[in-house]
Amino acid sequence: MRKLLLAPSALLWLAGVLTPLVFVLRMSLYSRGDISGEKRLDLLFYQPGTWSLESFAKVLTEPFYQRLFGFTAVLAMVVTTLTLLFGYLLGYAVYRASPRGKIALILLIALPKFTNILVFVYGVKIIFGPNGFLPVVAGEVMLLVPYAALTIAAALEAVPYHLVEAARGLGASSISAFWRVTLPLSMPGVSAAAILTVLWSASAFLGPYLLGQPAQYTVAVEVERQMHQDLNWTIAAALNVVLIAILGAAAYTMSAVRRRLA
Amino acid sequence: MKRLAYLVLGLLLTPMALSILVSFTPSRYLELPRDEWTLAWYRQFFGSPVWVQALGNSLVIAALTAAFSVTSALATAMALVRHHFRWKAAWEGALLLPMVLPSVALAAGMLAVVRLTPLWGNHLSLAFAHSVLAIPVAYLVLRASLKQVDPNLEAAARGLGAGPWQVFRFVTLPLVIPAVLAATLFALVISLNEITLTLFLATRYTETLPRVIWPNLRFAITPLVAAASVILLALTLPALVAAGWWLRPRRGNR
Amino acid sequence: MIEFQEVSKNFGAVTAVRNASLALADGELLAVLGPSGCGKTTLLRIAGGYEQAGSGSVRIHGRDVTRLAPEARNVGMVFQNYALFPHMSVLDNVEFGLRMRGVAKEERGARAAAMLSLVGLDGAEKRKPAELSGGQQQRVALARALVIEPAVLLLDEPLANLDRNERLRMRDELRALQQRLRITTILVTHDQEEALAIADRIAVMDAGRIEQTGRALDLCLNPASPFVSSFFGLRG
Repeated sequence: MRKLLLAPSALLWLAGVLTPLVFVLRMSLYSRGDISGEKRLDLLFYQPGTWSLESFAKVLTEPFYQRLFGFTAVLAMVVTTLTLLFGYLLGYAVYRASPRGKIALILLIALPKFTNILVFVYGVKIIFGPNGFLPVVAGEVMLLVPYAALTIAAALEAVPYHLVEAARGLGASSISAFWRVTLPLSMPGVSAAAILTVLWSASAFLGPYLLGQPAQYTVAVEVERQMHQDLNWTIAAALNVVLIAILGAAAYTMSAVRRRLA
Repeated sequence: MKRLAYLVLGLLLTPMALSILVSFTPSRYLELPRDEWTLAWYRQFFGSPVWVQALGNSLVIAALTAAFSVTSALATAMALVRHHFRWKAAWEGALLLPMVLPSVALAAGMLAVVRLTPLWGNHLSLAFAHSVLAIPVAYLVLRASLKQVDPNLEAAARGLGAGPWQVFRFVTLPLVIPAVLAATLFALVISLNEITLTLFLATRYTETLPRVIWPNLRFAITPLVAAASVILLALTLPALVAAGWWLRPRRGNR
Repeated sequence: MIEFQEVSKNFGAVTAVRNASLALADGELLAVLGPSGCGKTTLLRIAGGYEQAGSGSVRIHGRDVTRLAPEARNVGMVFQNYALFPHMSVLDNVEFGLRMRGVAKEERGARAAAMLSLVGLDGAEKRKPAELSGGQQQRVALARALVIEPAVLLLDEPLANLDRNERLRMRDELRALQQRLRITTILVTHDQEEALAIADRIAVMDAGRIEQTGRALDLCLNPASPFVSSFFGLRG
C-alpha cells in the first residue's frame, strides 16, 4: 500500500528523468558523429563498436567549446552576483514590511513568475533594446531575482528584529548592526539562494537565446543549436554531460562550503 | 535602500505591463498605443486557426499535466510524510532533481526517448514532460500542508471504523484541499508557460501557445505576439490570486 | 473484556513496552499509571490497533485482535489532544463512526444527538470544534468514541489538558458515565490522585514494564517494588 503510493511518481521519474539522462549519456558516447532523429536510436544500445570518446575529446579541447564554457561561467558569475544583490534588497524590504505589506510585496515579487517567460523576455527586449550582453544579463537577473528574494526573505524572517535593536542599544550603528547581526544570521538563505542561482544561471537558455547575439550564446543554447540545426546529437549530448558534471561538482562543493560555514 | 528595492520591483513588473499595453496598439510595430486603442490583434488571434489550435493544445496539455502531477505528488507526499522509509532523503532528492537539472539536457534526452515511443506527436508526451517539472513544485506545496495535519486525526478516523481510503476521502483530503488547489494551479501555470521541453517535443499537432509565439519572438515580432502573451497571462493570473489567498494571514494552524 | 498477554513493542533500539500482561473484567475501569515515557500510551495504542505489538497478543471478548486494523476492532479511543475533525461540525464528528458503519442518516443523527445530550452538550451540534472550550471538546471526543458502542473505551490522559476546576468535575462525570454504561475502560494517566479517585484497579508502569496491578489499597500497603511505593508516596 505505502509502496504503491510512490509508484506513480517513481514511474514518471524513471521514464521522464532517468531514462532521458541515460540516453543523453549513451548518445554522448556514440562513435558515428551525428545521430539525427531520423536514425534508429533504439538499436543504438546493442550495436557493438559504436562507442567512442570522440565527442568528449572535441568538446573538451576545441577552442570554440572552451570559449563557450568560459563565457557560460562568466555569465553565471555576473548574473549570480547581481541576482543576490538585488534579491537581498527585495528580501530585506519584505522583512521590514508590515504583515499586510509583506504579502503584497511577496505577490508582486512572484507576479513575474506567473507571467509567461516569453512575455517577460519580450518586455526585457523592449526595455533594454537590441540584443547583446546587457539585455542577456538583465533578462537572466530579472528571471532569477524573484526566487532569490523569496528565499532570502524566508531566511530573514527567522532573524528576530529585536536582536538588531539590541545591537543598536549596545551602540552599534545601523550599518554595523546590519553587517554584524542581520547579514550573518541571514547567510543560510543567501547561500541557498546562491547555490540555486548558480545552477540556474549556468544552464541559462532562454535569455541568451532570445536576447543575445551569437557571442552571448551559452552551453545550453549550443545544445539546442546542435540538436535542431546541426543535427549533431552526439556533440549536444556530450555538452549536456559535461555541463551536468560541472554543475554537479559545483553544487557539491558549494553545499560542502555551506555546511562548513553553518 | 527602500527606494532602490521598489525600483527593482518596478523594473521586474515592467516587461509584463509593457506587453499588455503593446497588445492594444493600432500600429503594426511594437509601439505603445498613444491616442487610439484597438482589439484588432486579439481579433486576429482568434481569427487564426494556428493560434486557436495552439490555445486548445495548451489547455489540454495543462489540464493533463495538472491531473498527473498533483495526483502523483499527493500520493508521494502522503507516503513520505506519514511513513518511515529507508532512503527517504534519497527519494525526495531524486524527486526534486528536475528543478536543478539543465532543462535542455532533460529535453534532449526526452526527445531521444519519446521518438522511440508511440507518444511522439501526442499530447500525452508533453503532459508527461511538463509533469516532470510540475511534480517537484506540487510535492513541496503538498508536503508542507500534509505536515500540518495531525496524524491522530487519521488514527481517530481509523478507530471509528474508516478504512484507509475513507480516511483519505473524509479526513485527510478535506484538510489539505487548499494545498491541492494551489498545487493544481502551480502545475497549470508551469505547463501553460513551459517552452524549453516543448520546443524539443512538440510536433505540428501538439504546438502549444508558447511554441507558436517562439519563432515570432526570434524573427518577426508583431503586436499579435503581445496579444497572445496577454491571453496566456489571463489564463495564469487566477493562479496568482489563489496564491495570494494561500499566503493570507491566518490565525492558528488547525 | 480485554486481555493483554506478554505484549512487547520496540521502536528501533528502544523498548517501549516489555512483556505486559493485563486482563480487565467487563465493566471495569483500569488506570494505567506511570511517568511520561513509561510506555503507557504505547500500550493503549496497541489496544486500539494504532501500533502493532512486536510480540504477544491482545484479545477482546476472547477474540484475538492483535493483527487487526483499528477499523476492525470496535474500540473507542479518546486521544490526549482529542483529535476532533476540525472541518466537521460537532454532530458530524459524533456521527462519523456510525456513518462508516453504514447507519442510515436519520438513525445516526438521533443516536449522535442522544449521546451528545448524555455527555451534557445539547445544542452544540452545529458548532465547529475550534469554537468549543477544552472541556466541551473533551465531551465531544467522548461522545464520538461512545456512540459506536465500543467493546472497550480507551482514554489517553483525558483530563491533562483541562484546568483544575474542570478537571475535577469532568473526572466525576467520567466515572459516573462509565458506571452507567458499564463499559470496560482503560485510562492512561500520570496523576496518582486521578487514578486513585476514578479507577477500580490500577496498573503501575515504569520503563515499559508493568510493575504491579491491583486495587489502590493493595498498592499502598503492599508495593511490589520500590518504584511503586515511591510513586504512591507511602512507605509500606
